[in-house]
Amino acid sequence: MASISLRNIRKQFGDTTVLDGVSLDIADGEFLTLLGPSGCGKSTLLRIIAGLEDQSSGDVEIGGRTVNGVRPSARDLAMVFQSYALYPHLSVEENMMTPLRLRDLGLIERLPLIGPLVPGRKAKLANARAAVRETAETLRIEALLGRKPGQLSGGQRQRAALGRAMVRNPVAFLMDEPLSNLDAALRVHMRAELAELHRQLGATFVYVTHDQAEALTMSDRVAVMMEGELLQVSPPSEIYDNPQDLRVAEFIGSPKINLLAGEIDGGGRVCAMGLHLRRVLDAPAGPVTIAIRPEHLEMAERASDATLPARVVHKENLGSDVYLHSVLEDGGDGRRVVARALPEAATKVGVGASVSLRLTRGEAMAFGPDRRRLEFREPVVEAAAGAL
Amino acid sequence: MAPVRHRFSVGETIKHAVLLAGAFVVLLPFYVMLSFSMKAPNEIERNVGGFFGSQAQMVDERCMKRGEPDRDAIAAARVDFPGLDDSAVRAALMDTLRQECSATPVVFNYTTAFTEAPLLRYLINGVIVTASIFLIQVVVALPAAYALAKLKFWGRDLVFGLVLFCLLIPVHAVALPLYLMLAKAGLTNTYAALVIPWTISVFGIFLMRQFFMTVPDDLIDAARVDGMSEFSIVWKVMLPTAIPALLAFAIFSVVAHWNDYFWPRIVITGNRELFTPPLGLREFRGDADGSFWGPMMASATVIVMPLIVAFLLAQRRFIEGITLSGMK
Amino acid sequence: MATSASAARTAGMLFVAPALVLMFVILLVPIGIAGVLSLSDYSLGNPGFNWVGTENYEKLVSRSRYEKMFTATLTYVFVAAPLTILLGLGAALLINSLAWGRDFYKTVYFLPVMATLLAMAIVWQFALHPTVGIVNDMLASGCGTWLEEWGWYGRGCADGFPNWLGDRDYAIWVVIFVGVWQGFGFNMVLYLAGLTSIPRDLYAAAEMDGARTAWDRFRIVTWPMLGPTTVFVVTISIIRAFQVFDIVEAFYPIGAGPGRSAYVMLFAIFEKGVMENLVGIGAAITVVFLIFVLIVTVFQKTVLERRVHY
Repeated sequence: MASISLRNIRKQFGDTTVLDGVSLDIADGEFLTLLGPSGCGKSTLLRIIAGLEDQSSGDVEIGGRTVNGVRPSARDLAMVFQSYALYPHLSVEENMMTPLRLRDLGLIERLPLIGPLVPGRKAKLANARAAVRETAETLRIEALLGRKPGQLSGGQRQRAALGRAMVRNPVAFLMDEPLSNLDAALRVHMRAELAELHRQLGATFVYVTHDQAEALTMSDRVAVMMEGELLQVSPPSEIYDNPQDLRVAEFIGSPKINLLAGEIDGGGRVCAMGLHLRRVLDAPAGPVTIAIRPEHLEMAERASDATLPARVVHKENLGSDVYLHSVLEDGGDGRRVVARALPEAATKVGVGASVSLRLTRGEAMAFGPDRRRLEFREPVVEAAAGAL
Repeated sequence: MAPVRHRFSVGETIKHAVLLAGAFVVLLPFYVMLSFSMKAPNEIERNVGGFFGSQAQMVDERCMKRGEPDRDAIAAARVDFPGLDDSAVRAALMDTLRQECSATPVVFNYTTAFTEAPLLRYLINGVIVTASIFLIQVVVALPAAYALAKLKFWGRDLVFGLVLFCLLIPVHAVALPLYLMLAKAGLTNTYAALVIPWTISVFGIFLMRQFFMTVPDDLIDAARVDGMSEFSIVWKVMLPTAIPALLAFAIFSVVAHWNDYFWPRIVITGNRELFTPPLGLREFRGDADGSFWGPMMASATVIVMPLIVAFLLAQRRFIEGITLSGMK
Repeated sequence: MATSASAARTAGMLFVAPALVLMFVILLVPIGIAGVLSLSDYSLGNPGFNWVGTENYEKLVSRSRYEKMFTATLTYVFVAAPLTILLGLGAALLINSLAWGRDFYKTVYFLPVMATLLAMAIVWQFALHPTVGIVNDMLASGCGTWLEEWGWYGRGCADGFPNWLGDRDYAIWVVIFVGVWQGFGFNMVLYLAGLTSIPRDLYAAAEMDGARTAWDRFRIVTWPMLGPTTVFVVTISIIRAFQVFDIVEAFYPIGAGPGRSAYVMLFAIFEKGVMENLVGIGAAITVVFLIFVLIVTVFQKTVLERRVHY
């Protein structure tokens, strides 16, 4: 097992910068997820850790050893690919044997015809076969060992690919969207299995995905990447509750977080869409974006100067919750917001109805023009009337 | 994962060296053909003059022989050369003739190629034969492929099995019995003999059937709802969708039959009017002596070049078409 | 829909009818005719013929002329086919690994496939001419250098380089050379297509699994993934090799080379069956030829395809 450290990794393809100075420390035994939209550079970063691609500058350390320019095979990592990349002409067992053969047998022993004549080869192969059996038992794929990848279902292939990665006890596992080729139900199931496997093996996992549910459910920490930059590295709950960047706030959460345009006045007080917020910011006067999650936008009994008037345009019933998609009236420029309501409350509201929305106390977040998070604080003097 | 490729490295240089050596051997005969087609006979025989030859004026001996003034010509020409005796008139006539029969080797070679043998006729025959073969192949194969892919009828699987079996029979292998059948029918030395054995392309049927399998049934059902007959579905709905596949097949078919030599050699004997380009070239060689190498290479160039030029202009399509048989 | 279905049934049979008739007349019936005539002494123009039993086939196995035919054909097939396959694969691997210039080599190597083989064979004949040919000319220009150290080369410099086409030691090899020259570009293109369809991820996986050398990558990924291409390439190369004719006819219009050293089967069929009007023996060679093709196909279906099935 080993920790992995990235120091200021840059990657350029011609004129395009794919990674722009990424630094990240992954602890020994940690499950870290690289999360981001497609094209954000997360897969490239993973391939750089693996050694499949060279960084333009910066250092990769694995277990305290700098591995720049070291071949993938010498880094002792295992990788699970989105396409599984199983060798289609080999059975599952032979697929799992391949890394062991390549590691344990010398060049001569691997040659056809001559190889089998080398003494000691048999014992090595027997050991390898035993290791394959053991791994197969852990993954419960003993019955599939004799089959070829073409004869397996998606989930079985996924396990075979995992088996090939596990069998030689690598110092870390790299996974490149390993679940994205599975159907929805199986994906949820495999999420749980992978998390359990991680606990069982205690190995370092670096997991790449664009699916926030995967990231939030399995990881110890999530690293959100966008446009070649690491925006935030935090535990899943922090990522959701406490995003440090507007882009992270927008990327995480479904339905998306609501954004309201606001202004900071000279005293740090914030006014957004006619609402005056109770808490204040230590920031210079200027524009600000107020972000509020749908569950923190609630229906008020009646309109007041602490509510936003809105008209419901669509109701999304998920059974346990109802999401009210509404258009803000009165100077909202037709901006849409989504509010979560309990089903019993939502039944009274039809599409087209006018509602008053209220921000839950203390839940609004503010982001400056540079998209960085601005921290609210309690006002020193109880002053502004009608504030939240 | 292949290691990062560097533009210049020892490995890359060695690869280029090997491939260039291969390219040298591959291009050698093309070089010889083009070069000889432009050179004078003496340059060819002594292997001098580089690629283009010196292009010095040369005298065509055959032309001289043909134009050699006989007694009557000299007598008739006497009025033009008053005061000269016969041998002087003859010399004067020979001088003009020599001028008329002079040309640069490249002009000589190519004009001779077209005048000594009906090369143009051969080329037209080549076009007629390859075009007829392709058109008939399409007319036969397209409906059959449509039926095998999209229509349910008794014996369909049997017919398709037969198609698969016939794919294994090279037509050249059954050339002898085919020749006998055509001879019995009195069809040797006709265009029909050149075309008939190729009218059925089981490969074309197979290929188009595989293509039609990918056409959605809805498209055909929609046409039926619109009141189209099955016949018009083939030609008005399926044919347009199949254009890319047909184009590839056209290249496959035309290249094979323009270049074919074996079959025309068997069924066309003696009648130059029916010669295809390769047959014509062979005939040319039959009566060639050393001085005719230039014109002969000019003929070869004229015959080989149309496809080569088309290939260079549309490489991707050609490679696709020629390797179609690899798609199985 | 019943009427539509029955219309489709009628149309279906109508549509395959011309193809079916032509398949029988042009491909299947001739096989039968060849089989029947191979047991006779039939000649075109003769009013009648006699059944001669297996006499024609006995000639094929007993006469030295046909021994030469089988020797020439099988030599050609078993040398030219592997060479076109290996050169095609080698060229494809080299070209595929290039950083630049791929299209150039691909185009150049494919040119012979497009060119009229008969014409190019005649050109090769000129190039290989013993006295004025460009090949011997180039070889002679190497005399006086270190190349002369090589025995064969030294002898060439001293006594003149071979009469490639006229020497029975070289004849069939020159025919093979031209056949390979013409055919390997075709296999190269098929292999290039096969190479581009190999998922990049497999190479990455092999690298992660510890494949260090180019040989490891080739053995673990490239070669197995080219399996289906190879099956096809092997089959078509062998069947094409059996059909060699143009080169032999271009080089040796009469007699198929010095001492009949290039007397390949298709030439024999043409010579016996068409030129000499000995239909019976020509038909017998045709039948043997078809059996060879059948053997190759059966070999493909049973041995090769099973091995690459996945």
